[in-house]
Amino acid sequence: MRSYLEMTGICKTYEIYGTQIKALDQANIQVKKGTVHGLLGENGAGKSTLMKILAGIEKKDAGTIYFKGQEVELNNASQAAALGIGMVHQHFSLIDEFTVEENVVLGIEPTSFLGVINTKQMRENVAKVAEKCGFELDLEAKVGSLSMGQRQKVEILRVLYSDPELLIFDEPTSVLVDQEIESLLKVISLLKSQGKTIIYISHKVEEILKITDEVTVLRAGKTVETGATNKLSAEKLVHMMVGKYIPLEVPKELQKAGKVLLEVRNLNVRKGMVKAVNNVSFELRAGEIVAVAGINGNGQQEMVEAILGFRKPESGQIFLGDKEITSLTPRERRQMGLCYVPEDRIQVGSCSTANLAENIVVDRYFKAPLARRGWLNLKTMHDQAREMITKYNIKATRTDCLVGTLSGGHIQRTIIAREISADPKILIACEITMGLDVESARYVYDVLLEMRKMQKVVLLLSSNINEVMSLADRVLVIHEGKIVAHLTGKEGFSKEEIGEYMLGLKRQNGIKLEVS
Amino acid sequence: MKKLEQFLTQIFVVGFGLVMACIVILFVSKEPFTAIKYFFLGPFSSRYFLGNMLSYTIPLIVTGLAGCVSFSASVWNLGLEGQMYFGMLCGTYCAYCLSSMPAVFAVPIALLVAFLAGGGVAAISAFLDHKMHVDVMVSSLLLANAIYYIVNFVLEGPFNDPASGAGVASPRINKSFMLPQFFPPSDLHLGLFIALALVAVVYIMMEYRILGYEIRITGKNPLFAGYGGINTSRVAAQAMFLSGGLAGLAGTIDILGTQGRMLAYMSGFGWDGISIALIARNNPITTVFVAFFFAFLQKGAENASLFSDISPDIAQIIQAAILFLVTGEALFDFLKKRKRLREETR
Repeated sequence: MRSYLEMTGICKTYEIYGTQIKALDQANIQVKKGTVHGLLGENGAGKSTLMKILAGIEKKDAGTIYFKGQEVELNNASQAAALGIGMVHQHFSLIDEFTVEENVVLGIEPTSFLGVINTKQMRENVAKVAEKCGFELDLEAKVGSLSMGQRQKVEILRVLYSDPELLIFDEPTSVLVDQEIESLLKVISLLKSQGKTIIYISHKVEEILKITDEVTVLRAGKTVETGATNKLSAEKLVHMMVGKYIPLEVPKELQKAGKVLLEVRNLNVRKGMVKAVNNVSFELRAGEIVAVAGINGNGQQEMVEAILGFRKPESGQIFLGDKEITSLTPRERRQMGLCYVPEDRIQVGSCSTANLAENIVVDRYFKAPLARRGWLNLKTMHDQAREMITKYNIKATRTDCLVGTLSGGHIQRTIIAREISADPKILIACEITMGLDVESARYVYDVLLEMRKMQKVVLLLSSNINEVMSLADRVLVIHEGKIVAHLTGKEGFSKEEIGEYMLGLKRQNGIKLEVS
Repeated sequence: MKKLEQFLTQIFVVGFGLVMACIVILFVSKEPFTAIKYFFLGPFSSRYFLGNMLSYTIPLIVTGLAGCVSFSASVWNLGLEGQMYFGMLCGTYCAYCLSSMPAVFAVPIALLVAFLAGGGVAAISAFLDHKMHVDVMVSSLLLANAIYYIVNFVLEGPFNDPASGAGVASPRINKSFMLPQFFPPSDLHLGLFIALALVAVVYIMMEYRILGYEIRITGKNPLFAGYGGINTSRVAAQAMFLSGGLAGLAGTIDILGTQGRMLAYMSGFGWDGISIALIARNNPITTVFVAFFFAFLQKGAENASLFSDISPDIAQIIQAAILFLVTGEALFDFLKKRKRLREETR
């Protein structure tokens, strides 16, 4: 006898930055009817992908899905909806200008003669659904005026409106404040008591423990474990999520940290309504690699943008050496020795429709020897580009080839070549090896260690814990915009420990941010 | 490879336009073959027609350049017409006021004033975008429509030559200020060389100047430009100002070369400039040929209407058809790009 829902041997490969990435590799999940089933894993473990396949949004490459004992083919979202599978997405897709009820019925509006929307019918239908799950919402309010928690309720209503049997919640608490989380969890238990089956995607261990009956843990696209939640502890779950530490073999020599190169004092950054960075202070010293570990979306991106001058901080100060740079432009900061390898190498780090030489000079085209009195020196520009091709082993035959024609790894090399050749004091590197093949990643590690040796400093943002642990001298763990731990690594790091801090299960008291 | 593809597309667009012209003529004309003959050969049939066609090309080249500059920075200046119209008014007024000055001084001053006036109008849009995030596309377009009426008001009232009567126009400027015409009996004038010099200036600026690099990179990928330290809103404002300035020059050069006074309720060079820059894919040199092609369509249609039974408006129909094709292609590119982006961001 098969389970209510069974997905077996699901595979899915994406191409990202020119490299094939296996998002799912023979993943399995079995869900019993009428339960809340947790799907736990780190960012990029494949949770959302697996569920998007179930909701018909993504197509699987291989594997089979059995729903209520029958094998099903899900080619699009409406097929899944017809079977009674609905998904509440992490990012809302509501129309701000529409009212709650208009948003709920969008696409399946009750109509009367000639396709005119039957307002009365719509109001009754929506009110009925809202009552059933105990939502107190002003159905005629514009969605734009609602809080995030209320918007999520609208999103839930929208899915419930077509009366699904199986509901998928994708990281539902990531946008909510504490009270809203409480009320969401109540809604989920209520739905369960009405006989619905729920799959709850999260990377937050506490929530999984609190609300689910069974849990499946995914790691790197593979199913690690499935079992009853009450037989598992938080520690065990974290351990399953992050896996074993495999040290990278990098020749890191012991060396003492030098003088302070970058200091951040009480930095606060707001992103819209959310306080993305909350009173963060730290300092970076010459000859260090300092990693910032954290789950995506915990404020690290906003922090980096504030340091680089792309985002205005609400308050706080940033010092480069002993000079304050808080109000300088990005260009002035770059001139002072700050460099940046962004996570998005296609949209931010490079210009795919400009040629290699033009890409390489973007931070220095305006000064000698590349320019004089407003005139560009194209010859020098191409000479420099040619030098970089050789020195950094970029697979390009000409300096006027468009960067978009290079492979992902070589685009990354182009970016690194530019940033390193600017002779920076500080390099901020975000997900610098993501999607790179082993050889290219290896090369990047050498570059970073070389910088460390030269008494420069690298601020490394990475979701790859192995990388963080092998390279970093110190680790700052960021959770919900706050630095929750500062690990100096004198006794080495433990992967579980970093994982627990990252997930907000633990935090250090009286964090010491200076290096002795 | 890509360049060849682009070139072939442009040739195809031109060919399509000409085929369209024939089809439309076949439909509307009782004597289509005479009409087609005059349409295609008319503009080349005498010194007079040839010279006038070239003379008509001059302002189109300059408004086309104006489009190239702003579109290269991905700043969608759709207000070329308004910038040109206002520039024309200020340039003409300035030339009128300086009547007693020698031409060597007065003409450059009038041109400079026209440039600043056109640039000034464009700067309003740039400023609104920077301060209040008003889309340049919208503000420049709306301003162009407003300016049309304001300038016409000025020409009807304060700056009107009563002698012009129903054909509302400004007073004539000093005859000695007129750019010499060198291809009689047509009114082809020295402005042709000014326009070609401007093409060279814009080309050199885009390829060899720091500002050109900034404009191109900002236009191609503003995120990347900002990441590299380029102040993208400054660059956008500069591109907008230059674009408006060139538009202002375009109309004034035409007045100094042909009419010698500003006529109200006229023109359209600014709107054509947008299409020309789009078809030329922001390349200043291609702009010359596309401008010529537009002038040919216009003059061919006028010619055919003189000697046979069709209306000169046929030129607009053909231009519109071509523009559909070009924007359709741009849309296709955009969709491809968006599809790629979607796949990458998943």
